[in-house]
Amino acid sequence: MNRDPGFIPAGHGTMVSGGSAAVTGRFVALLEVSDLLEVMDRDDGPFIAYMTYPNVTMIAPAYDVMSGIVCEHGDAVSHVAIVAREIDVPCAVQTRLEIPLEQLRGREVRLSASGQLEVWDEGTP
Amino acid sequence: MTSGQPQTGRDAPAAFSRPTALDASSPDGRAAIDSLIERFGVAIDSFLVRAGKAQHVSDQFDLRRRALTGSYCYFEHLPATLRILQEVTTPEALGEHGRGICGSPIGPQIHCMIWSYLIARENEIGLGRSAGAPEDLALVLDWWSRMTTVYRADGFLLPHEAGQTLPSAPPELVTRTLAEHVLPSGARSAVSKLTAGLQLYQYVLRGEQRGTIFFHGPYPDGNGSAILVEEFTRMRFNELPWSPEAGTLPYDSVAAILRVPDVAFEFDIFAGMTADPVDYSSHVTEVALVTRDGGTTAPITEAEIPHAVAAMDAAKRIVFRETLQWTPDFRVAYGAYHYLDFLVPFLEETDTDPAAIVNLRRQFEETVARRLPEILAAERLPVWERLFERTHPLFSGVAA
Repeated sequence: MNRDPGFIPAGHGTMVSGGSAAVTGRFVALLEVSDLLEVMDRDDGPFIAYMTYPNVTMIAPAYDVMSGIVCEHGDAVSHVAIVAREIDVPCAVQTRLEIPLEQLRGREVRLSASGQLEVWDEGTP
Repeated sequence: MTSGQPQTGRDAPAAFSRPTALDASSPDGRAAIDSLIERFGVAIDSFLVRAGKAQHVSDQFDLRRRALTGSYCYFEHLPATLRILQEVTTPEALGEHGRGICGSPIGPQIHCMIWSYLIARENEIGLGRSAGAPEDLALVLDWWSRMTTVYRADGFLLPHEAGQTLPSAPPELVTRTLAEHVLPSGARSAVSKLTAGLQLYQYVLRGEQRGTIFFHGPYPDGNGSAILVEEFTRMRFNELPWSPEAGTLPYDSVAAILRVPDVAFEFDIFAGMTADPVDYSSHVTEVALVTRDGGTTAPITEAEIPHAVAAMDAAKRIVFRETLQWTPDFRVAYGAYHYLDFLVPFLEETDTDPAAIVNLRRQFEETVARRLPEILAAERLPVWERLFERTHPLFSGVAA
């Protein structure tokens, strides 16, 4: 069956910062310090950071180029959530991915105002 | 939650007033010591419950061993440092000196005295070793309680005893400073980005320690609004060997003063803050940004903020890359410098011989060199087991 290009659901979380408009960016999983170093070295534009835990050290050196934050754990008073609100970056916590993490790395994703995470799908001819 | 006017919890102990020094050799003195330890333990228990999710763990650092390293430095050298200070000042004078906007020492540094001393002491007790001299314990508690009494100036020692409030400055000073230096409303977003960036910078600089990120208040303004102060100090001049050169950052101290109606704030013992509603930014009606560099309060203008943000971002990346080069041992040993930086303000703000600071650094480094092998090799860290399992009392009394 043919599928048109477009965003498809990739997960859903609870918004604890932002939420007035959708943001887009490259999906970057910050699971280890090496992931963060790669982002700092590449310095190639806005990205949406995925983290397991709300650890601010993992966003601190690159927060200025993040367009959004998606966290598996955390809540509204997690340090990441507090910082995200202050820098006015949308942040979702308690996020459940519907597509395996490895299939999202490097792809264009969109975080909506409702906490819906979507990934760009090229479709099939 | 507390909004505007500080409130007192129904079960709060009576206001604190004890002008005389604690005496570990008398029954009354020992009872007073145990009472203070118990009260501090309740505050720590409250703090751990509120921050319990973190469990003091990190991907990059061994926070528990880091804290223990610094705590042993206090355990070994804090009493002697206080005896040096006794020659030139009083706890009350030092507590008064800390009050204000970007004062020194700040509340977390005052509380760190007893926190660090008791952490190491409890670990020693858990290992079946000496709890230290009772007169040293009495001296630490005496300085802490007398400094805190003057510093808070509300008759209480601890946030949980006073409705989770953390007053650290005269309310009229806070109100006046806000009025004198209030920024245009369009600057609020820029201020927010700067303070968030400074939080992250301090967090990186201090190896995942809040350090001198310091929320205090709320200060009533007489109109039902709360005024909140968020400050950052010792950013340029400190005892951290990996800190960027002073010229990298434009300010050593920054304070944001915010008028926030219809929001309730709570503060913990180490100056963390929670708000209800959580996202209080839309409630902010006025904000001022000041520095105390040079000893006087001066405004930071809206035009100066972008430069400060850029400088701080660059410094943050430099420090982060440097910390990645640390050896596994130094990822624990660095705690000595953090804790040194929390104690040095006590000496800096008095007429103490500057050589005392140099000597204190050497003593801290010697303690770490001697203690580190055991701390690194330890399978058990009894004090953390006790704290995170919430075994009460968290801290043993003087008779231990």
